[in-house]
Amino acid sequence: MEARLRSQDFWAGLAFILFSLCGYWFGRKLNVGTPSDMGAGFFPRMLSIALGIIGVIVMAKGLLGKSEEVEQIHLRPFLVLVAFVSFALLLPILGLIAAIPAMTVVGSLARREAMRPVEIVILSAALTAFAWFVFVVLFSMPMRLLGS
Amino acid sequence: MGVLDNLLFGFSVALSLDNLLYCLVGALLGTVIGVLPGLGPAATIAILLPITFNLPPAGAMIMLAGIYYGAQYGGSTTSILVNLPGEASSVVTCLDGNKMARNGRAGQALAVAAVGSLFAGIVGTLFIALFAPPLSQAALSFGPAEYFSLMLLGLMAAVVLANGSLIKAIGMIVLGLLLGCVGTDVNSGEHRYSFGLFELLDGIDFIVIAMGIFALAEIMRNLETEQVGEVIHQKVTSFMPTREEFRASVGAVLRGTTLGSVLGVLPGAGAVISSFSAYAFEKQISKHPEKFGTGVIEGVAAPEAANNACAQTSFIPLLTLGIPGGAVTAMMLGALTIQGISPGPQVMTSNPDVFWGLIASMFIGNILLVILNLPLIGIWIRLLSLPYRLLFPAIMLFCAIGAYGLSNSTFNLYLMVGAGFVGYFLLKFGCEPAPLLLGFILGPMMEEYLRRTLLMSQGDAMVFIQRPLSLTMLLIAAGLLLMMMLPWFRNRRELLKEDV
Repeated sequence: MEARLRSQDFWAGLAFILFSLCGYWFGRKLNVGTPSDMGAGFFPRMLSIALGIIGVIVMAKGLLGKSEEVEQIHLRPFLVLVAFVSFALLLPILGLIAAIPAMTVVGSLARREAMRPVEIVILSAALTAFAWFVFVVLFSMPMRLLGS
Repeated sequence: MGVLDNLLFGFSVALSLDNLLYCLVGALLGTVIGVLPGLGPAATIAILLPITFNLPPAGAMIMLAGIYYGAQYGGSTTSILVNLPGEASSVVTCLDGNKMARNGRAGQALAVAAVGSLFAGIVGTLFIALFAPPLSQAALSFGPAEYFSLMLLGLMAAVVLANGSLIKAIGMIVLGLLLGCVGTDVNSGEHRYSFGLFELLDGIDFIVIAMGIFALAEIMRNLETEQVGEVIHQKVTSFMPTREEFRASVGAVLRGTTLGSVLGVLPGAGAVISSFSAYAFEKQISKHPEKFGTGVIEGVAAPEAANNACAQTSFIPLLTLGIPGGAVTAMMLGALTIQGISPGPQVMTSNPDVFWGLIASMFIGNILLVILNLPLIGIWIRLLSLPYRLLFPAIMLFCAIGAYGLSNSTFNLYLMVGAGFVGYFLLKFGCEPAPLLLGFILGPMMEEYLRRTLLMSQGDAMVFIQRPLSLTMLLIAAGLLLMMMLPWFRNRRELLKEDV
């Protein structure tokens, strides 16, 4: 049973089932209508049900048949996502000059081997300067270098 | 002849200074991302798409197309010199290309790859020029039922011919279709899956999903398994092949081009499957199959020609029918829609400058690429030594600014992170991301065609099989599915994967 729980298909099927449940649940109040007069909820409900069926099949394949195992999930790479979140948080408050270095620093931590601090500093500075020049000056995007 | 006139018109559009520049930029960018492992055309196009909104439609398409087929050229460089595929479609080229490089024949491998790709690109483009107009004509008589069935066929073809588990890929399509429902229903005005957030009332921007599942999840995967390839440091001096090499490669290029051109038209058959199939085919018909893998020039010529021919002809379904065949063309579909052009058979007549300008620019682009790839090879070799750790922060920056710039709000950034999160896990679970994007982009259209069909037939679903064209398409789709379930085809698919 333990090996089964590592199977890719098991988890893929589970993910599909979860999505299908969400799709059905959050669309339950939509007007489904009839085939000849499809309402807003018709297509989503059909899809949710189909996804659920597919999810069950895939999950069954994972439990009963042979399927590849899920590779080791590493936590470090998730820092990439954290880096983007820090960019999103800091940009409106402190501007590019804080957001880009923060993203670069956190992103550099996502790497298995640590990066040299010198590289990180130069990279942050270069990227901030580049972004300011190209996106703010040339493209006139509404972002502030400093401040909100 | 009509085609010649149209092509001349196309050249007049493509040779304007602006469009030449866009073509050059696209080809250059394509080569760069092709050379650099860890960044693919799908992710790049997702990132650059917002910038193209300010460009005129013809220019935007020219540039984006340049990136796509340019990446096929660049990918071969890395495969040959570093034994790391720069692009998924260049994986097969590693097999013999890198061996040739180790035998001191790197220049010959690169030359054959580039020239073969040029030939294939020109043939592929001619293919489009000749077959697109009649196809568009035929498609003008399509009704909503035909369009729905065609999109269904396209989605089925996309998963059948792609890698990975069939049922999971279908699941990804359905998930993509479901995600496409987020937003305001056009007909009734009801809010679907908006969770009370006004930012979701217009639906999720496909660029956010594309960046999340292609770029972000890819960066995460790449950081997990940072591969280091050793670059061949010997100087690439001569490019001229020997007579035997030349003769062998001519046949291989012709065969690869044919295979790639045909496969490219089929929605879903991408550059990857074309190059794999071409290599496998060459090996099958070769008089010395055991030599494959030791540095045989056909092993480079055929897949490289195939992947470039395929990249060109994959525009046919998009330009004639408005059906995308893969992630890249799906995003171009989105780009066209945002530019105010509804893709379909009428594009040829309503926006001839986009249609013919794009085709003409492909000729120009391919020539530019040979110039970029061969004489400038030294630059690319130096670029290859650029370590990924310096590169990925830059990629992150482009993604971040790109996502922010879509609506000048950080909301899309958070959405992108969510998409990346989900995308990473789905990748780990062996689910292909491209079908999700395809389903996402086609979803709203399919719903609309379904609704219209059923409205006109008053709820009778039989209409899909009563109309002959629609029936044909559905039968082909069912046939493809059945084919994939037959053990004979299953084994061939597995064999192709194992070869690498």
